[in-house]
Amino acid sequence: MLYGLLKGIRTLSVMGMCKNAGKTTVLNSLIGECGARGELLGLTSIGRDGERSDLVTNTKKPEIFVQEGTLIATAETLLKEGDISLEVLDTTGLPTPMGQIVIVRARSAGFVQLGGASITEHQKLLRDSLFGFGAERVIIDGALSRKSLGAPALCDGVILSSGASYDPDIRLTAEDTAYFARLFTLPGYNGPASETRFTAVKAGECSGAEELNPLIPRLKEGAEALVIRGAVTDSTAAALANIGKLLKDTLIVCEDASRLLLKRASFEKLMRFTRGAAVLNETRLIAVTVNPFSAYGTHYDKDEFRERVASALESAGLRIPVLDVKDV
Amino acid sequence: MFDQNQLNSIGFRFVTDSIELNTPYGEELARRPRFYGRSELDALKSEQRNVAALMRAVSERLPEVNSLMRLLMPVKDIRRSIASLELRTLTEVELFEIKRFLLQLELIAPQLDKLGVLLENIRVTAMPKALDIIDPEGLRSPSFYVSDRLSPRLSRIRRERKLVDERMKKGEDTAELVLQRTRLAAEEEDANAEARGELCTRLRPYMDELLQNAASIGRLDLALGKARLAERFGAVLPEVGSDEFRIEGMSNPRIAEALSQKGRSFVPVSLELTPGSVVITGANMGGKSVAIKTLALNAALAMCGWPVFAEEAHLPCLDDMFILSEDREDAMSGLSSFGGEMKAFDSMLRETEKKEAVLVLLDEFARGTNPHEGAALVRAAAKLFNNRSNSYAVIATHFDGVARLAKKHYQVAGLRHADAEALRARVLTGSTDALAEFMDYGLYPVSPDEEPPRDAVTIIRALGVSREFSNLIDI
Repeated sequence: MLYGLLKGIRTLSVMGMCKNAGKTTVLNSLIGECGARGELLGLTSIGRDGERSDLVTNTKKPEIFVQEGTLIATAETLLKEGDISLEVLDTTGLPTPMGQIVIVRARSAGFVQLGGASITEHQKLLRDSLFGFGAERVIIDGALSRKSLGAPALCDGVILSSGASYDPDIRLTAEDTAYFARLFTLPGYNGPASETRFTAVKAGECSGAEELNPLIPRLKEGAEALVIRGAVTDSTAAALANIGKLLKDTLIVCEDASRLLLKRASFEKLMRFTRGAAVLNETRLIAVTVNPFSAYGTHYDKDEFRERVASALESAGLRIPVLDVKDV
Repeated sequence: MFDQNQLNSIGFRFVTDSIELNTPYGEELARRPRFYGRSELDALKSEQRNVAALMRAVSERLPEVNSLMRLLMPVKDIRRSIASLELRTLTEVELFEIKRFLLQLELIAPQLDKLGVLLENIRVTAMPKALDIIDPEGLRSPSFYVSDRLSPRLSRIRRERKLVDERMKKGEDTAELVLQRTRLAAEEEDANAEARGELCTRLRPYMDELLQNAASIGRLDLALGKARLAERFGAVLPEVGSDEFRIEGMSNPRIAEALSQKGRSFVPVSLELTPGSVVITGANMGGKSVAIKTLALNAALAMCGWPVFAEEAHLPCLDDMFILSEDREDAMSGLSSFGGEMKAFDSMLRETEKKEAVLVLLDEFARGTNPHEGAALVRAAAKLFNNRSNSYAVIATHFDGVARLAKKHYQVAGLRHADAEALRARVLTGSTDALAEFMDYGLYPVSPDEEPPRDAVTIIRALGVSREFSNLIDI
């Protein structure tokens, strides 16, 4: 079902909005569909803070099931959690709390536990290494958190997985899902930018600075874009709100969706007093999956959830397929 | 030997950081340089012969040297895995790293032979028998997989598992089949561990040879790095254990780099020392400290088996070396700077007393007290070292009356020969570097009676220090 959406996408990231969003089901379905077509897959994941304690408390066995031949980049100590018969292809020396990341080839079908790099540069190295060992497509097990929106910079397609475990309030979950979907579909910005933290762009000319204040005179002249490198947090948004009047014709540009670490309310406010937001590295959101089943007991009605998410996306002006995890 | 601060300050770290190494073993050796004492002179000479041989190879057979370096690059540190091998069965990842190391040896050993350089205490040997254990099929592929050949049981389980996998792939997913898969996976894990256990037992006899190869690769990497460093900077190997202590045309790459950023160049320094005190006098800002640091750097490099930054260098085998300068570590530790200096001097005197040959460097000793007593302290130090035949002391000072006690006196020429009128004219044009332009940084042997130059006032004027102040100077 999902396979048809993968056209033109070499690196795909599946991002879960919370635990039990059904991300693993989506991953397994993708792996199965690609495998059935004889596609050689590479798999890795985004390293998460505190992953080790998660593993200790989570007594479940790894659930990602790969076919023979699959290439996997994962942390050394996680290898023993899986049950594939494995061939070690490379040791990368890239550190994680669970040991260095190694590249292995599955010599049998079986379960694997993924634990990847948390630094974007390392994630790129791993992706390229998987391609180097012959992967035709790389799938990244991603996660959303307040600290990180995964790694849109290194993938060309994203699947967003939402679920009832996110919040007991179905409306909130649907709206936040649409919010994340908006972040992953922000338009690309093709104008110039300097390497500094802030760049004001006026008539195609850049003025860069590490702080906002030196750029205020420039912004007063009416800049068409303000490019921000690094994280855009609630406090960045508050600083922008202070000079909100100057920004009504200015497009706010960040490096990629992962840099927008804003509460939905801050983002919406930002959108009201500026000309909108864009990213330097565009990603494609190819689908949203929904899981009405909650790990905490507050299940949603399957149809209602899907419809609410679909209509929230529609209100945000997004036409993205919404699929129930059971149907992927 | 110098402490970490001093090694930084004299530019020793700068040199050891400039070396290009290709293996973790070589990097470790460069990070912790070995000071060869008197009893290790043979080892030092042997290291020097290795570096000399590789310097020749670098200049005569660069393509082969480059090929060798490329083969060193992928070498990883396997010592942890080898230490684990002694205690337990290794994981697949650890075995992979040992296999990679063995494969690399197969390439490095013949390339080193091909280079045809005679190296002492460096022997890299291919270990085909160990490789056959880890790679029984002889495929020599760069990956590691526990071979079916190692265990008929493992091989049988894998075949069964494959059949189950194929049925499942076709869509069969009965509870019974799933259970069978899980059971086979567990059995495979068990058989795999057993096979690795057997593999490790057979590898254990090769542990020492692996470690020796790793150590040899480290020494080769370091010696090659030194040879290339010498080539890059025009450094030479010193004669250690000489009857004389003479270094000609020394430089200090760290200071040279700082100068070149200001568009200036380093003026090479030559010094000849005798047991007892050698005194360096000279103008403020004239480079006495630079001379001391440059000597310290090159003496330390020589005694650690590194090439020196000089045209030629001859020095006795030194047991130890000390430097007292403003950069002292205790400068911030609460003692007044004078108190700290005297305490450090005292402990240095005690430490050097029983050594056979030491280099003692005093940079502006006793600067923290009044000139009258300060000069007396420096004269006392000069006399003291004159009485110690084991000490090569170099004392940089601008106090009067010290030089005549010295066995040898060097002076930084400073502004002595500068055309005062021309200097004043240049200063008036507002040129900030006028001083550097007129300063003669050269170090010249002079008569013991030559007093330190009096050019503090000239320097003050050249620096453009407040007229209100300089007009009041009354000499």
